[in-house]
Amino acid sequence: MGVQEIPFYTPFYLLIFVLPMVIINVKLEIGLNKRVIYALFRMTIQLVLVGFFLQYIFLFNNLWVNSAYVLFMIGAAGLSTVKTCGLTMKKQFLPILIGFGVPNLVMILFINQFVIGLDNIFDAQYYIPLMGMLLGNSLSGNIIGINTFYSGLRQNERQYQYRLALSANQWESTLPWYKEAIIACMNPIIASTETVGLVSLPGMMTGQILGGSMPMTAIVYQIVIMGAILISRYFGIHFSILLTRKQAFDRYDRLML
Amino acid sequence: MAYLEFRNIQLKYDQRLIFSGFNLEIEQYEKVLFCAPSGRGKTSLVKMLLGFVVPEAGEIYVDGIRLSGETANGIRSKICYVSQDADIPKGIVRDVFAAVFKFSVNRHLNYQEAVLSDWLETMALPQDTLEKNVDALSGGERQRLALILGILLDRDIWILDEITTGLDLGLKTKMVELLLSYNKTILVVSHDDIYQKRGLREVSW
Repeated sequence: MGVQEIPFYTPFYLLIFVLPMVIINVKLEIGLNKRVIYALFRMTIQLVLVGFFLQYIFLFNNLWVNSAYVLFMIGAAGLSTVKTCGLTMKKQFLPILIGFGVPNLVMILFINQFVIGLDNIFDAQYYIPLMGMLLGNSLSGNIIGINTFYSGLRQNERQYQYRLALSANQWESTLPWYKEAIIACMNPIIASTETVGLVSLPGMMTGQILGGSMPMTAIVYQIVIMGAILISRYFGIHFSILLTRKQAFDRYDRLML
Repeated sequence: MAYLEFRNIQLKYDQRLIFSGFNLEIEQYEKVLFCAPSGRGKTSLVKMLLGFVVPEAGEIYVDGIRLSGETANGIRSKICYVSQDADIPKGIVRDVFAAVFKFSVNRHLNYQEAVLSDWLETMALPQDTLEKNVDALSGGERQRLALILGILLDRDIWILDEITTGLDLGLKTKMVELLLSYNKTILVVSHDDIYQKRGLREVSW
């Protein structure tokens, strides 16, 4: 049982409901119209482009093409993190890329090889969407964690200096903020892992069920991806902070961001 | 060569030149009072010694070692810095002290909680301070804890930056007498008259 195909024009039917939204926003002077319309427009264009692109990638389904696409995703995630966290592009881009890339690549290849047991672990059907889920979660985790670490240090500079004077060691002196960053990064994912399935069916499961999978199959995939997300997010934030911090302090251990 | 040396220091702060061609020598076990008027960079001067503020030009020597990015950690481990804000690490006092003595440079010190208890008494702090959270203490209490921490760390150079603010006269006198009785190189930043006529070398600029 496959999924019912949607014709290209019927999604636009949803605009019927956007119209009253726009009217209400105008009447009540809720300044959301521009952003709502821009977001819907952008989302559509973006997804159509990605769709076209992915069609071809799935057609080729070649190790190198697939990996190039995954690298592109890692690059986009890295760029977004560097921008959101106010890091210096030149110095921090590479460390962030490695911070994203290594844990997530290891995780995806491990899942494909040992958990799912694929013959071709670079098969686009698994490699690309699962990697997208891992990276998306690492992205929000890294942004929260990196921000918590560096803004914590910046706001508590005197406390940090005092610890530095007490211990004379950058690692020991920054440890409280490091721990805080790991916790801040992990809190949301731990909460959503705990409650998954109770509030709403997760997106991947929904997709699989719509695509015709039996619920039990979808559930096993969901368990695997939840575990993988939690694990790679944890290692991702350690990697990202450890790698960025090398460039973030001067030789006197002063925070230079 | 003197124990501590500032040579030809130049430093700007907020676009303003606060040190230019500044020189200072301090001998080991000397006790020095920095009493320059406000805004002349007294705190910047001691922070330069710790490598938290780096001068644009000039050199700083501590015990014959030139301060640089490579030597800053080694030099910091000779210095105990107690500031007016007493930013001791957050947490329960007992745990904070234990954690500080677990830092690798401090592990050799063989810290015992019983010693801390004795010091609480000396510093007129109640014994239940041990169980309290640092955040719940008053500024004066935190300052005294920072001083105890400083004494227990047993480092060669003490920097005491406005440590008497927030203490009453009796306690202040007791504290200053106690601290100055130690055979350490002591640098005091203060405007307080309490340090007058105690044999400190006064340095102003």
